[in-house]
Amino acid sequence: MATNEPSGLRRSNDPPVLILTSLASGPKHGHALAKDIEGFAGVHLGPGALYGAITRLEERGLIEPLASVDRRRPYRITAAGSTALADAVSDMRRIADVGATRLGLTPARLA
Amino acid sequence: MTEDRDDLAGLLRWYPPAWRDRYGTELVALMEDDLDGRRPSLRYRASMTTSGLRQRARSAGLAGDGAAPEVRVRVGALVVLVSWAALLLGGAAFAKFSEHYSDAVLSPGHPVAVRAYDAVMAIAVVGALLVLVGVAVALPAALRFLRVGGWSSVRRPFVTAAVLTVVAVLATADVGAWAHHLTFHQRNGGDGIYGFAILDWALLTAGTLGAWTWAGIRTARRIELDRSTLRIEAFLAVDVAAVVEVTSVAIGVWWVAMAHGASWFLAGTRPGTHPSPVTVQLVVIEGWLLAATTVALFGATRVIRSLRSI
Repeated sequence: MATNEPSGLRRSNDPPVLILTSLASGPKHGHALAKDIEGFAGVHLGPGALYGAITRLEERGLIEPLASVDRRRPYRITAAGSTALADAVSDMRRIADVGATRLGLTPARLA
Repeated sequence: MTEDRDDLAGLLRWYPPAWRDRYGTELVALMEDDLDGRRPSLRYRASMTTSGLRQRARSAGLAGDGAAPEVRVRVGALVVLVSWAALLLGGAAFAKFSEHYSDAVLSPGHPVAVRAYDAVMAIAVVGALLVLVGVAVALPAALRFLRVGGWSSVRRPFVTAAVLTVVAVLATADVGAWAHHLTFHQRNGGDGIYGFAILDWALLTAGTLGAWTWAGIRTARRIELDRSTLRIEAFLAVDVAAVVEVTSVAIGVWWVAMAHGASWFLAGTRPGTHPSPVTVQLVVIEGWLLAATTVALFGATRVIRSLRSI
C-alpha cells in the first residue's frame, strides 16, 4: 500500500511506528526494543523485521545510533522522528475517534 | 559460543556486504539474545533469508524507496533490459516452433494468424532498434567509464561473453553444416544425436545472450549518466517494456488463431485433423513470455514511479 507520508509511517502495527513508539521512552538496543514492543503491542518482531525497519528509519533520519555497548548498539529517536510519530499518532487517534463515535463507544468502554 | 556465533553470522550471508558491515555485529548480538542459547529453527532461518534478500533488493534499488530516484530509474531500466533478453529467447523458440507455419495458412482463411505473426516480427525489429538506441545513448558515458580505469571492474563478464560468443558462432556454423546433410525428418526429431546437439547449441546461445546482458548490466550500473541521458534511457525502457508486452500478446493471438484454423500444425499432425492445440512447447513459450512481461511491467513501473522524482 502506498503512503503519502514522507516519514513512511502507516498503520499502528507497522514496525517503524512500533519502534518509534518504543524509543519515545528512551534509547534502546535491538533486544530491549523487541521486548518492549512485545510488552505494549503484543507484536513479536523477529530480528530480520526489526533491523529492516531500523535501517529504513535511520535512512530517513527518524532515529540515530549511539555508541555500542558489548556489540549491542542502542538507538534513539531524533527530533524528526518525534515529529513523525506525533503526526502518525494524531492520525491514528483521529481515525480511532471517528470509529469510536460511529460505534457509540463510551470512553469507559474504550479504556 | 563462538560456533553458535559463526552459525548466526552465517544467516547474514543473504544481506548485502555493505549492510552486513554496518549492522551485522549488532544483528548477531540481537539473535543471540533472542534465541538465548537455542538453535535457530528452520522458520527462523527462512525469515532471516527473506529479510536478507529483501534488504539486498532495497540496496540494489529494486524495492522500496531507500535508493536515490536516479538509481531506481536506472535499475528499473535494467530490469526491462533483462525482460528484453528473456523475450529474445522466447521469441527464438517461437520462431523455431512457427517455422514453415505459412505452409499451413496459405489459404485466405487465416488472416488473423498472418497479421499476428507479421506484427510479432515488426514489433521485434522496433524493440531491437530501441535497445540499440539505448546502447548508443549510453555509449559515450560507457567509454568515459572505461577510459578512467573502469575496465578492470567489468573485464570478467565481457571476456566471458566474448568467449561464449566465439564458441557460439563456431557451434552455429558446425550445426548449420551438419543440418545441410540431414533430411527434414532427421532435423525435426528423427536424429537423436542431432537433437541433443541442437539442445546444447540452444543452451549455449541462451548462455551467450545472458552473459552479454550481465556484462551490460554490470557496466550500466557503474557508468555516470547525466539527468537528461537517464531520462532518455527511462523513456526507451518504458517503450521496450511495451514492446515486450505487445509481442507476448501478438504471439498469444497467433496461437489462438492457429488453434482455431490449423491446430494440426501446432500439434504436428497431418493437415485436416483437429488435435488439441495445447502443446507443451507453446505452453512453455507462453509461460516464459508471461514471465518476461511480468518482469518488464515491474521494471517499467519502477521507472515511471521514480522518474517523477528526478
